[in-house]
Amino acid sequence: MTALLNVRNLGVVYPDGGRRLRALDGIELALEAGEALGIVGESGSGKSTLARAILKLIAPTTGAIEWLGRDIAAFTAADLTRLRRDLTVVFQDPVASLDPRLSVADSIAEPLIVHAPALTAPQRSRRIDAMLEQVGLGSGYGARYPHELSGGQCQRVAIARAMITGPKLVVCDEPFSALDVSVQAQIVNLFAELRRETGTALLVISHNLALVRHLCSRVMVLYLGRVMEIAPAEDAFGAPLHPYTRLLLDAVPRLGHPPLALEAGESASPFEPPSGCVFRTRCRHAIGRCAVERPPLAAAGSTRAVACLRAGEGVARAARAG
Amino acid sequence: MSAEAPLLAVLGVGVSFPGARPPVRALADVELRLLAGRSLGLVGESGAGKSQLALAIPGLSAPGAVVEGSIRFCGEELINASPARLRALRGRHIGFIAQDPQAALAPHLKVGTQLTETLRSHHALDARAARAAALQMLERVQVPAPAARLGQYPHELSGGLRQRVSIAIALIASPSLLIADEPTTALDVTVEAGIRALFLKLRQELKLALVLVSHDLAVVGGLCDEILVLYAGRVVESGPAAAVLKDPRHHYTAALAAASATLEAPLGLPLATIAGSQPAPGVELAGCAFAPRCPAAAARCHAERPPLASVAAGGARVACHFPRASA
Repeated sequence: MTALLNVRNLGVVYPDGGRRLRALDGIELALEAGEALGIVGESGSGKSTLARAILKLIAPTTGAIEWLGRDIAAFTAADLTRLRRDLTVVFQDPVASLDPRLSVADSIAEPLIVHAPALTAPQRSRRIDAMLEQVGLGSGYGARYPHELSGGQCQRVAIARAMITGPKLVVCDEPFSALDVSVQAQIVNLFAELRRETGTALLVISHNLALVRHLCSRVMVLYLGRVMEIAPAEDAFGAPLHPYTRLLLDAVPRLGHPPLALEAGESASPFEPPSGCVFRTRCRHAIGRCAVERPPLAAAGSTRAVACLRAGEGVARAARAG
Repeated sequence: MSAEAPLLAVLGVGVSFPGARPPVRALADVELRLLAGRSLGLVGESGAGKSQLALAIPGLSAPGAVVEGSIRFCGEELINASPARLRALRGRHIGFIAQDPQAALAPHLKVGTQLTETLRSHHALDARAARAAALQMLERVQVPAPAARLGQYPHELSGGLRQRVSIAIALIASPSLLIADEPTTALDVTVEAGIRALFLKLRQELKLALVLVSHDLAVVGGLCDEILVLYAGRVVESGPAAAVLKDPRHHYTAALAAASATLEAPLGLPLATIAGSQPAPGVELAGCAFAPRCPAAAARCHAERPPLASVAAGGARVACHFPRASA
């Protein structure tokens, strides 16, 4: 079976004055239809660059992105139009992502006018009303404008707009970070429900591990442009194999636990990534070999892969004290 | 109620924006007491009024805001204090840390200048002594290579380092109260964890009182002795943080706790949510503002606003006609 999306040895280098920033390095990923994959990592890990490359907003420096088995770099104009129908996006800032001059119904109508031009105006209205119901707003919201809506309601409109063309994959770039806690929970539930009802795959970029764990079946952990670990979300967060995944987990505030000093410092500079394993300068398990050898992303069982020379020793198992 | 005079005593405080359309009452009837060296977390969702309260205490409310009631700091009334007096208090006795460290730092001044400026104006130190104090403060907030940082500009620092520098600036004049408005929202989770650990260390070392604004109950639970839960501009629950978080008596606090996703919660179930939304700014309900969303609301809740009343020994108070039973 052909995967929906295949990312093969993807590298993205941004020139920055005289320097080169390697934002992504050797990313491999296969996403199946209907899957929900979370991508986590700190700023500079490359998660947004990966989303942009998949959306064909930037071109890979090396490697390729294949959609249904074909390299998107070779897509014709007609292919690209189909891709924009099948692969849509929900951005971080729900208010800024909507045109303030368009009513909710007009915002949602835009992609339909492009991708389903044969629909009559009444047919289009019916589709939009049904979509508004599906995202929990109700068709009464069609006549409203973004400034009349809360952040959570705007995000529902953005989701309706992303879903109206019946896409195969929706890329969600930090879809929760601008929202309040109770609204985040509503949006997570909405995404889960839409995925169940429509079979649409999700690629969710978020720094909120707890929400990713709830929404996603699999998670990919990125650091300085490289994959550290990829695993079913429950396994990655329940029993991480990479010390970087462990660090991210330990950083999450937990009720009833005082904050602990993690002593892992801040992310190394993406302009000067460390030799060998890029995480070694922050890793308390690093040994001499880690500075010399770049750990390959190696299979760990049938569903997981990890890029750590010491993964087999279970170094990431122990949670922080306290 | 403790007999000790509080460092900060807020009574009947309201913040409104009569010039807004419609006029908005952002905060009403807020009452709190904070003893020296203690920490208080202000929690609630956007629009609940937590930042309005954090800004009103040191006299930083936005232009157009009308602040009423009483805010006493070390016994001194701050409402209607002169701008010069408030500036002097902020530089010397009350430190303030904003959400965005980028906005809080002057982009055209070196880190060293920004640190020593405060000291030289408020403590009349000479340049050399001020530099030594600046260096010591950067070490205290765990900025690596502190001497080199003094000569750097804010844009040369990472987001986490910028926030540490703004903490150093807020603390350099040895204030007795630090107010931090969502100090880690703009930062990475790992950097955020480091800043939280730093707050804990600084409170222990400096005997500092802290008012921390956060939307995250776990953050407040980890750092604060006391908690104040705000909803639609009013206090709905207050008391010892550990007790309130373990056994919330207000239905809103309980719902907020349930909606907070955790890494331990069982999978496969929808996350708990709170139906509906906060009343829009400018909308005043006759009864409890949470009643339209509350699972336990009765007719009385829609008609009559519940006062904040004691529910337990130890100072826990709740504004609810029908508080949840103690677990």
